[in-house]
Amino acid sequence: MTYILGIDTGGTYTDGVIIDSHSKRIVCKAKALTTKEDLRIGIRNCIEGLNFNEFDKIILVSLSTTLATNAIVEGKGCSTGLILIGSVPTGDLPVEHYEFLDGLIDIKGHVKIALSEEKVFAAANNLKGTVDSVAISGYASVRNPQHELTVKKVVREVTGLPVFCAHELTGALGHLQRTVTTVLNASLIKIINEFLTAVRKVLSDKNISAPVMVVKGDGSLMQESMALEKPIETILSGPAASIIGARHLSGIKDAFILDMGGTTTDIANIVNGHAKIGVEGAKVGGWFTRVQAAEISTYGLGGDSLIHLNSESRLEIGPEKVEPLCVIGFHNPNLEHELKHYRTIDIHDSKLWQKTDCFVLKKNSNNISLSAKENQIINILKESAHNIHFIKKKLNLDLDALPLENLLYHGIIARVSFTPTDVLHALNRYTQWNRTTPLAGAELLASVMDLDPEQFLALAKNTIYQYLGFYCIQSAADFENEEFDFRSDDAALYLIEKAFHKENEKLMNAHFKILQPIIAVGAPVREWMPPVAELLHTNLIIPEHAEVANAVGAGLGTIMETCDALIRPEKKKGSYVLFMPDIRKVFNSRISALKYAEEALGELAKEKAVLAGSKHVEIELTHEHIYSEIFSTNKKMYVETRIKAIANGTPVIKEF
Amino acid sequence: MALILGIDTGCTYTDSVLFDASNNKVLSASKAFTTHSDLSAGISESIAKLYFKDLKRISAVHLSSTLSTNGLLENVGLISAVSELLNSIKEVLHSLDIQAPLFVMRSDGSLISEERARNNPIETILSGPAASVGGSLFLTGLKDYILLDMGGTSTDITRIENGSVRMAPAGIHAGKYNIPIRALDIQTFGIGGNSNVFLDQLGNIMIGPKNVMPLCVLGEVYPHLIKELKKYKKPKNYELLTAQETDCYIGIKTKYGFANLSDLESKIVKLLHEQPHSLFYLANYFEADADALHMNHLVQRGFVQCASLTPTDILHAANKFTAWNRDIALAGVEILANRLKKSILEFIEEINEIIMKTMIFSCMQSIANFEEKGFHFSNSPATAYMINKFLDDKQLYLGADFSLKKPIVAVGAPAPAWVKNVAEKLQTDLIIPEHYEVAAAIGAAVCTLKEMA
Repeated sequence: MTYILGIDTGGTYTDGVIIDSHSKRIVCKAKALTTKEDLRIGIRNCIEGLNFNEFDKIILVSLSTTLATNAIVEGKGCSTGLILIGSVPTGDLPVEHYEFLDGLIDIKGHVKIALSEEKVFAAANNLKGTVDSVAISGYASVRNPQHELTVKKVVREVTGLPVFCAHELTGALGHLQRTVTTVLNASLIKIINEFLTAVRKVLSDKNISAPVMVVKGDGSLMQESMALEKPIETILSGPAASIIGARHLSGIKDAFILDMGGTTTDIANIVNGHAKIGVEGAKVGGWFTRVQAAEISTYGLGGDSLIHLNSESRLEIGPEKVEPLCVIGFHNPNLEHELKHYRTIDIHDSKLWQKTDCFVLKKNSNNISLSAKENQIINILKESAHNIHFIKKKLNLDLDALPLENLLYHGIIARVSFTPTDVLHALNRYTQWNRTTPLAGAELLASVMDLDPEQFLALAKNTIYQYLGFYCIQSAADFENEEFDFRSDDAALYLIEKAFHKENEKLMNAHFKILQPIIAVGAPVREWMPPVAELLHTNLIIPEHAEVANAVGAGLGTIMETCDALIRPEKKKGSYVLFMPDIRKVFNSRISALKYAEEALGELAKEKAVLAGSKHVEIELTHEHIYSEIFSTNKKMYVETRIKAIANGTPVIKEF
Repeated sequence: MALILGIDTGCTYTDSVLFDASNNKVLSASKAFTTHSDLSAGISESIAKLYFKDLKRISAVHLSSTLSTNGLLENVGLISAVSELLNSIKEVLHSLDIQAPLFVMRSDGSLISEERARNNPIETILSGPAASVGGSLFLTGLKDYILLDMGGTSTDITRIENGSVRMAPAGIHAGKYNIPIRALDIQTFGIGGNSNVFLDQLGNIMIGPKNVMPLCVLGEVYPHLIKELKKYKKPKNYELLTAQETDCYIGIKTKYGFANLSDLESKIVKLLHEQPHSLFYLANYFEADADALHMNHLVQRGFVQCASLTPTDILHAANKFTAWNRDIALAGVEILANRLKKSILEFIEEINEIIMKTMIFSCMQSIANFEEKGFHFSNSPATAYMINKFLDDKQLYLGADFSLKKPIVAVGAPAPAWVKNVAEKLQTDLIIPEHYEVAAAIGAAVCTLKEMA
């Protein structure tokens, strides 16, 4: 018997499963907290939690992760330098400084202005020592990559840094999006490298010597070496893996898939087994990229989302993720006493923090320079986690003057507060961690709202149901290709709230119904989703192993690589140009261009699939001739031919 | 026996009822068109249609009214509008030798003396909807419902709770003005039996808020218009901008004579004084482009009244209600249906659909207003998306369904024809009481001096 190890490193949990490689049965599974301060700890805890001995029989290790997505959302990528060639795209770029070179390639792939070697060297020298990675993006480089390749060679020689070219990441036109994609890609190299190194270290400690694959945003796999070339391809790999896992575990092909993790809830729609791949490319952290990814709506509500009172004393959930009181209270029993003690404090004058907030030390400050007050906070937290009022008293500062934010940003300390996971512990639905600390938290928040703790917990529960119900309704509209943001529309919210508060309605009832079944996966869905499905009059399926669906999906991924090419007529009659990645070639007939393109593109896709880690590859070729109607005549004019090659393959495995 | 004459002068109809206050019984009810150029004509026709000979026995006259809000925009205009109405009614009462005292209803549903009404005309504007509320309470005996009062010009929606209506938080809205008087919280929407059904420049079917005379009403007296509509067509490729192909016009004799009219305008008005004509008859007669006649200017200044296609004509064309001329209604329907390349049946079906949707939309908007929400559903594409899902059953992934938790009571002449589908779709009971078509006049008659709310 041989096995596949699937691992998903999320923002909150690291999940692992062992899958029987033949029957695809789940053999065992485990869940551990993700340890951002040192990823190895969480991965090791997870693998050890599997209670599995036959590590030598693992033939493939497959990973999915949200680390890259989170880094972009939080703006925590490494510092990246950008070299633009030929044109500066209009729009925001995720870099502070860039170098400009005035070589120019036109949209047809002709070199219009040659590169100046002297200036290329000057740009490379400017970046040396100031950045951790370099992105190169030239105008029309997908039509002729010559300039990008020349610059890459020089920058690599001069700086020794990882260097990424735009044309290597995407074949799509659109200089701005291509540049954004390349910069983000370069900024993720450190994080993905750290992650893969951590996995490698734990695997070798456990004597697991199988090939390592990483899930891409479209759900297919690539091998480790390719992930290091294209770290950006891993964005949204977590949700993509959960789609594959949910589909496999439920056996259902048409449904909404709702994946509730610790940090977010992701909702996707599968039709005939597949999620739609976004035409425009994935949007992450407000940036439009050229990365292919499944269309997934992401909402900032997970098991560890912050439950807080807004300025109107209404309960809000998320989007900030914190550490639950029950988890930190488990190791820091003083928190319960502090929460009880500070309940009597009437004055809580803060726009930033609430009474239940505590802080815990996560890692040492290393080489980050800190102020004296910041160091004082670190010293206070060294003995144990503490409530904010405890820290305030020690530092003798106003609450909002406490220098916490910089420490939080660098991940040196973490905010601990009341979360949905704490609601479940307080209600005794979950018993994994400590119950008395979240109970003290609930009493504290209840007293602020003038409620009994029971009333407060019921309200918190209902609020979470409503948030989830609302997100399902929003997603349904998204999947119908509507562009409404219900949250910013009072009238729409009014109607939706009517559906959630039927008992208060005197005049009108509203019902909303999700017409697809919902497959729910992720750790907390058994607790949260049944009332939501009832609210939305829909069929809810929570398959066995739902809590590790991502890791299952990672383990079951296959390889799929696509390549595109384009044939266009040249101005000179009777000749045709073929545009392909790295190729620009002229032919004297359309048929000969197509014949060449299909052959070359098939080879290229196969090459990519092999590079991605595929063993057996099957090529699927399609082409489409595009014509446009000539106004007010019946004639059609030939515009172009679009050729696509899809290479499907299974990942290479450990051979015995 | 205390006999009360209740009169409601609305924008479209003037209704009268004779009410036996000792036995709480409606003895007789009638309906006539409101004659804006001379209100007394409509009032006396309405009273005459009660067919009651012993008018001297009437012990009190109660009047409610919905005067055109145009007059409200100049204050002078308001006082003159109210005193014109009071003078007209006094004139009619005098000629019929009815010597009973006259009481006027206020916007809050209470009655005041004629003298006080003359001194405080602003209190009496728009009392018709309040009168309908009183009428519906009397006719149904219910205490908790949503009232839909569909008249010729508008549909008024009111929430009745424990037999009363709350006061409007901000008085009455008239155009862009807000008049801070005590008034019942009644939501008004510009759709009624005589709302204009027309096609906009893009070919979309529109209904209201403009209000015209139904073709079937004018055609009843002037059947030659049927021929005119059929014979004088819009020239092909002619884009009509300021009027509709279905429009007919009738001249109104005003006290201004022909002052301030251009040569062409005088000629048009004179011709229309002889008998009404269709738009393209006029265009043909004066050898002018239809738009160049600027008929809308003459309508605005009150020299001419416009008749065109209305929901009332749709009912005639569909053979559901045939008090007046059906042929002209069919001719009007045919013109618009042809322009949309639809059959007459398809066109009628579409109008029914639009009216139902507009009414449902209005009900839902009213409920938001009763719950003091400040938003307009029409400004929210997301809300329109959800409500359209409910109305059209276009449900791919998201289904939406709305239902009323209170029964609907419907009054006003066109209500039975249009409200049935609305109640069905909103999954609630519908009550259409006896005398629904004159509910406002009954409300005026049954009202005592006591304030209602």
